This record gives sequence, structure tokens and C-alpha cells, in this order.
Amino acid sequence: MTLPNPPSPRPVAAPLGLSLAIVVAIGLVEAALAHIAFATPPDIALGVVQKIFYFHVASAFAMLLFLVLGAGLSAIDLVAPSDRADAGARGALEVGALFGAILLVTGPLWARKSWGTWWTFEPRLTLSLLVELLALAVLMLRGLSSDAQLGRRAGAAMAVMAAPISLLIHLAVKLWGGNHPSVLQGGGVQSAAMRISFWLAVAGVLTLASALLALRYQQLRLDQRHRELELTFAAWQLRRTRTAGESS
Amino acid sequence: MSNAAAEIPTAGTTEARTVAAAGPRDLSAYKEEQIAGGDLAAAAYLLLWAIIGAYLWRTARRQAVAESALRALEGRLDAEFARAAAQAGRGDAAAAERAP
Repeated sequence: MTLPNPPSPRPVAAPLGLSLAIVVAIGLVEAALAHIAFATPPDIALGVVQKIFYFHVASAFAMLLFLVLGAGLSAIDLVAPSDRADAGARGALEVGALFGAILLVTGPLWARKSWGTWWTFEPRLTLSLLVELLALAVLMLRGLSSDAQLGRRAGAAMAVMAAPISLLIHLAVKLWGGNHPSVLQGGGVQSAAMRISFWLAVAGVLTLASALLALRYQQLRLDQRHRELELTFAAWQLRRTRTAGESS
Repeated sequence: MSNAAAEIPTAGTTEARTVAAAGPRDLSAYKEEQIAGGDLAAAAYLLLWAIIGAYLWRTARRQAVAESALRALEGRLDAEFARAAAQAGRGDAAAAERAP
């Protein structure tokens, strides 16, 4: 009887255009920073501190988009479990939480100057903090759970449940008012230069977030492939031992 | 909190807007508390890059660990493959000896 060959480590293909996405993201972010610093006038009322606005709002967009994407992929993973959906969901939630952290760090620095306080528990801020804490809780649940499958499914369910709260952040100003301005309808950008900076920052941050997600996705798939190979190898060793026992 | 501190108005409040109309008051503590907007904007952009940099650093570390684990597995696979090939070779030789 001929023994089967050991499993071969098949490499995980890099997502198409990852390098290109990174180069484009860096270019857009650099262009946005240069435009914000040198070509955009300071706000008449708030002064220089308003320049936080561009990356603050872009980070909010990235947070919302990637947390909702993570929740969507988690829902797919719950209905039809697949390693690709799992890696995508985890990566998207991480990137969403990353930009949520940026949002919650840059916001108070701006608020200190414009509202006179670092933090206030008004609806949009409170919901943003809640969603960030939920995203971190999902990631911690997944990372620290002793039963990986249970952690994966419980984390996915929690991410799906948190998605409506993410959407409520967007509606919070309309529904409950509060100090926070409604950016796109509330006149957040007053001049053409400000609008260019704003959309450059949004494009740069979203491309950067996508590149980070692609990078993390590739890495999570590598981890999954490694675990899969370890299991196949263990099964192969067991079969070989049995075959050797039978032939002797 | 002292009485002096309690009277300090903060920007954006009704008290802050009516300070000028209310007449002369001691605003030295209020002025000292102000942070320049440029400093806050610079801090925001520095923290932004610090957070992204920390995430990239952590991702690079995870990548290094994953690659190291895969290299170790590859080494174990090579060793097992060589051992299996040697055993198969011995089996073929024994079969050839037994053949009439």
C-alpha cells in the first residue's frame, strides 16, 4: 500500500490590487493633508481647530461603513458559515473599531474648543461611544473565547445586533437633537476649498481603511490556512501510523 | 471647587457670551485655561497617525508570527515527507526480495 503524500502548504493568494490600494490610499491621504494644511482657509468662527473636522468626519464614515460591513459579513457567516466571511467580518470590525477610536479621540479635541468641554453625553457622542465599546467587546469575545467556534458565532450574533445602533448614530441628530451638528446638511463645509479637502479626506480615509481591511483579511486567511494545514497534517500522521501498524 | 473656579465661564455657554456685557471681571484663570486651536488640531493629527501606526505595527507583528508558524510547519512537513519516502523505499526493496 502506498502512503499518501503529506499535505502541501498552498499559499493564500493576496487580494487583487492590495499594493495598488495602499499606494492610492497614501497618495490620497497625503493630498488631503496638504490641501487641508495649505489650501483650505480656517473656519471663520472656530479658527484652525476646525481643520480636525476633515479627518474626524471621514473617520466617522469609515467607522460606520466598516462596522455595518462587518455586521453584514457576520450575518452571512451565521447563515452559511465560511472562513472567507469570518475573516472578512473580523477584519471589517477591527478596521471599523480602529476608525471609531480615531473618531472618539479627535472629537473631544475639537469639542474642547468649540463647545468648551472635552465630552458631553449628547445622543450622537453617546451612541458613538456605545458602538465603539460594542465593537471592542465583539473583538475581545472572539479573541479571548476558549471555544473558538462558540466565540466566532457569539461574536457574529453580537455584531449583527449592534448594526442598528451604528445606523442610529447617523440619525441621532435628526431624532434627538443635541449639540452635534449634522455635517452634510448642517453647513459643515462653507467654501469650495473646504469641500475639496473634505472629499479628499473622505476618499483617502476610505481607501486607507479598505487597504487595511485587505491586509488584515489576507493575514486572517493565512492564519486559517495554517490551522487547516495543522489539522490535515495531524490527520495524515494518524493515518500513516495506522497504515504502518497494519502492514507490520 | 473654589468659588473663583466655579465662576469661570466656558466657551459656548450663555455665561461666556455675556461676559463682556456683564462688566469687568477677573478672567485670568479663564484665559490660562484656553488651549490654542492649532495645538488641538496638531494633537488630533498626531494621535490619528499614532493609532494607525500602532495598528500597522500590530498587524506586522501578527504577520511575522503567522509566517514563522508556517515556516515551522513547512519544515515538519519536509521531514515527514522524507521519512515517508524512505519507508516507501524500504517497502519496495522488501517486496522485491520476496518476489520469486
